[in-house]
Amino acid sequence: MVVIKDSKNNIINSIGGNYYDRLYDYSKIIGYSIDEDNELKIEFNPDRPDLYSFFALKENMKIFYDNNYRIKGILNNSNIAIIPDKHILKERPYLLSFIAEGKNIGNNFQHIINYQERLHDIIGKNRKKVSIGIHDLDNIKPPFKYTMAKAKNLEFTTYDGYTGSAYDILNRHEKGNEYKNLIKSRDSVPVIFDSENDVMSMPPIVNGIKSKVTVNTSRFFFDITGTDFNAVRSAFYLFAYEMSYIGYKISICNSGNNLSNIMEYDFREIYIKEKEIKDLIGLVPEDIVTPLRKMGYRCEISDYGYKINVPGNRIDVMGPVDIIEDIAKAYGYDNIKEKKLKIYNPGKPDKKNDNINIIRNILTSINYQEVRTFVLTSNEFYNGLNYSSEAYIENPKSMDYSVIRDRLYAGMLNFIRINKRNGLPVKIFEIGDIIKNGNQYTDLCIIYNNSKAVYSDIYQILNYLNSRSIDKTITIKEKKHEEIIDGRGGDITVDNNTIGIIGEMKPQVLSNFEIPAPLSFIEINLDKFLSYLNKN
Amino acid sequence: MEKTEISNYEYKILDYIKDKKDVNENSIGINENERIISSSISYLEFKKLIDVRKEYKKTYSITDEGEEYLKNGFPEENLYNILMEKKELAVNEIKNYLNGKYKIAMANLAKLGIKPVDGKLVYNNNSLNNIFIESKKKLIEIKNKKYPEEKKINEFIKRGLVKEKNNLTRIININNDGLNALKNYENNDYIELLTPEILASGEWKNKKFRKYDLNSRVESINGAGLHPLTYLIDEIRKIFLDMGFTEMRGHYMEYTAWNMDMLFIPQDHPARDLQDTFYLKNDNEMEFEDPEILKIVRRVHEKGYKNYPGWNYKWSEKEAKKVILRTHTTVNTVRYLYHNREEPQFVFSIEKVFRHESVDWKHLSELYQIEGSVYSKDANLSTLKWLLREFYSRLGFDNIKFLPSYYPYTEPSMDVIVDINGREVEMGGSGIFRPEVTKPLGLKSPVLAFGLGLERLAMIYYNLNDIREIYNSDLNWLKNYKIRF
Repeated sequence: MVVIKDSKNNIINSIGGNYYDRLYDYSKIIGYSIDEDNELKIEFNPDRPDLYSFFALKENMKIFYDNNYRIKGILNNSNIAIIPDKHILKERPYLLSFIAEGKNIGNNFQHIINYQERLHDIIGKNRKKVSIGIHDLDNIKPPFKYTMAKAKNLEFTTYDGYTGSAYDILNRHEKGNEYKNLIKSRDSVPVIFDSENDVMSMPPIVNGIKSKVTVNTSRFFFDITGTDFNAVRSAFYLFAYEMSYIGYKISICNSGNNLSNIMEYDFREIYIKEKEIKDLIGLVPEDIVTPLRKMGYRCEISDYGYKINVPGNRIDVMGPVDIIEDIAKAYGYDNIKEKKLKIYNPGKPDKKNDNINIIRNILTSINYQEVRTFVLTSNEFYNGLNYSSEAYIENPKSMDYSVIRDRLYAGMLNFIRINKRNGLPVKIFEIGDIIKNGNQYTDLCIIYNNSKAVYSDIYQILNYLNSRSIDKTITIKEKKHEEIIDGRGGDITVDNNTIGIIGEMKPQVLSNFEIPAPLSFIEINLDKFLSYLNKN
Repeated sequence: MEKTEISNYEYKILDYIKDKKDVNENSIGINENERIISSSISYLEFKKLIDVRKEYKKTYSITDEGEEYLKNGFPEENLYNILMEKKELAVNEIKNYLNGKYKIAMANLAKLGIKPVDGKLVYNNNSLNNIFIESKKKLIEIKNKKYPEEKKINEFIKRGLVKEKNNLTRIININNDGLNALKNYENNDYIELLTPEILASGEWKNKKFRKYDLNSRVESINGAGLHPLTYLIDEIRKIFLDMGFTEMRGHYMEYTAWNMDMLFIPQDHPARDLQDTFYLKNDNEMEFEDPEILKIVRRVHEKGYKNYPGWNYKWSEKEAKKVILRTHTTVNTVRYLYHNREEPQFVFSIEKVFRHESVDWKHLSELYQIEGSVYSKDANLSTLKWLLREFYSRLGFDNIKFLPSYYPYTEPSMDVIVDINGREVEMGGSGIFRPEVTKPLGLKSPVLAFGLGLERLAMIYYNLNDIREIYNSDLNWLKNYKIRF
């Protein structure tokens, strides 16, 4: 989630009181959430980076409420050029750039720095895919050159006054240290020179001092470099549109690409048919053109249906469905008439879930309480026990929830531990999924915990369960188990197939869980047990 | 005249006072609690079996301030002790020693004769210690309900150290009707306990049954029952089944190809970060169901579908073959529809999903997701709205709102806002699958889907403040929570 915020006064100063009031209304159209205390805070879904500033919101509200429709794109042509050479291809191959001209940036200086960082973060993946350099065009001399240079030989002063070789900057400057891993070899680094051979920028690390931007800058040069073409194009359009929202004239520079290809992305064409709208919304608004124009598109009726032009900063729009959603938003989700969905067939339950419910009823009828414990558990619960799931979490958030349980009783012993204050006896059961040797099963565990709990207490329960549900007879085979006192438990079998274990818990296990009274239990693989269900 | 009947408690009281005069209700020596005695006396008065005289008596108790003085000393005492040590004190420095209480301390010390002279207090061998000790003793006496002379008490009341209360006590005497009632109770015409012997002998035919106090307290029963989530899951299953949905079943561990790629979530999407999703170190090679989908997702991610451009990146099979704990049960829907392509399909599941969250009062790292989905030529925003309204109203939410939203695999997307005691709460998301999701599955019509979290619903239904209580439950609560019908 992306959040933008500012004080009420600042927002009103930059967008006007009228649009400030409309932010609430507009939130219901777009679907952002809005929260006001000392500051106004807007939280966006990640699909609309083109709206991530109050300037952008104002421009889009102007279009929506005041019919100030977009007619054409924002790009002009500039005769300033930045020439990439082939050396950068292996390092940071994509480059786009533009110029923004207007008044002194003044109070909005900090805003564009913040916006730059935001793009670095959300589009650039912390500068890996894209980084942006902002320069004062009046202090540098075009044409510019984008190339690679030897790190030890390239010496310059950074925008914040550190002088040294590129090698020093990578190792000693704060930004160098932070981002040097993004440069592949580190013997040579990407660099942008002006025509006087002064360093403007060492992407994606740091700018030089010569082109440093101040509150007095009025003509900007933006370099956008990166390793992912789509991301570079997205950052380019987002920033160019943002600068135009603040009032700057935008011109694209020749940067060696096929420029017409880039420029075509602004106001790119997408066609939609009426039927596509009907299929997705369930109705076709009488007027399609106005809602689309209100949402910032250019729209005309064509032979095919509707011809739509998409602004370059709507990087979320991939095809007709994205535009149809905007029709629905402009039309208002509240205004869409509800239509009964025809239901064709009777519902069908999962039989296993129904059977499990019957098992639950059998156990509550003999006064056993159902509990539910966590699927994710801690290695600590397996102190002295062999964990057999092999499903460890590689990136646990906390060690308390770092493995998937391979049995139910461990979580239930913990449950008993935290319920010690509630006294004895404890008669509980759980039905839940576990993972054992990589496979998921449903287990049933029943525990009897009392000052004189013995094997027969739980054996009785098993017999009762047996008699109420399956025709075959359950037999117990004595067998050693790590958690069961020798000779006081073993395998639960049906037709010689083992379906679970039964017995008195070893004192060591009880003491690991700080349980003060003896306990007998059964744990059954319910999938196997249910396969013997009486089905007459 | 009808005989006035009395209960067992009332009998005990009458029996106790029958030979006594002017009995204070607080001194009735029967072995029952105060509440029972007090209410029985009220009944006896109502039945006119006793004469009651009301007496008001003043009692005194110590305020919090008084308690504090007892613990830390009177402020003037503390000031005096400091003065004794320093011999003299400038008035303006006193507050450094006594912070809030310095004004009280000076005023009271002045009453005892130590007043500032030339802006100074001077120690003069005044020997006031006995006065302070005496005051404290009196305060302690009041605390123990042994009241000293009124003048001292009033002084304490004025200082806010003691407060006064008027207590009502009833003084009771048995009257003639009471004596009669007692006699009636004692004569042997009543059956106390019905026994097999009385039944066999027929003795009950000639006797009356002693009336019980029907509201007297009994021991509570310790039952056992289903977990609250079980009730809730069953209720929701019924709603789905009533509406013609088929129940699906899935599994915790999934390949990212199924959980993410099939839903057109790009491989560098933040939802796939280590901070959002649990990745598994799974040493066992898990079976990859329907491996042919790898080809499908590669094509859609790299090249798109028809006029949809796709992600235009190099799709990595390695990334798609990582094993995770499923982040949603939407993967159940996708797999089900892949195997069941004839329309229409109405499907649902209520199963666990996992989130890379710290566990606290508001968050869990595992949650039940309620997932519902419809594959039909009628699936669109209008029918989705109808379906959600129907579903939520059956859940008990009649007042819902829809808000545009965003999910990477649905377009359009819509959130559901419910009204809970006047507060708007987001509860559930929904939308219509993108064509990049449905078309490669071989589905010709739209698919709508919605989901919400079960535990949040449980918190509302069962009035819980801490979401962890659902799992690390108090056993007593589990046995006694109010079932929602």
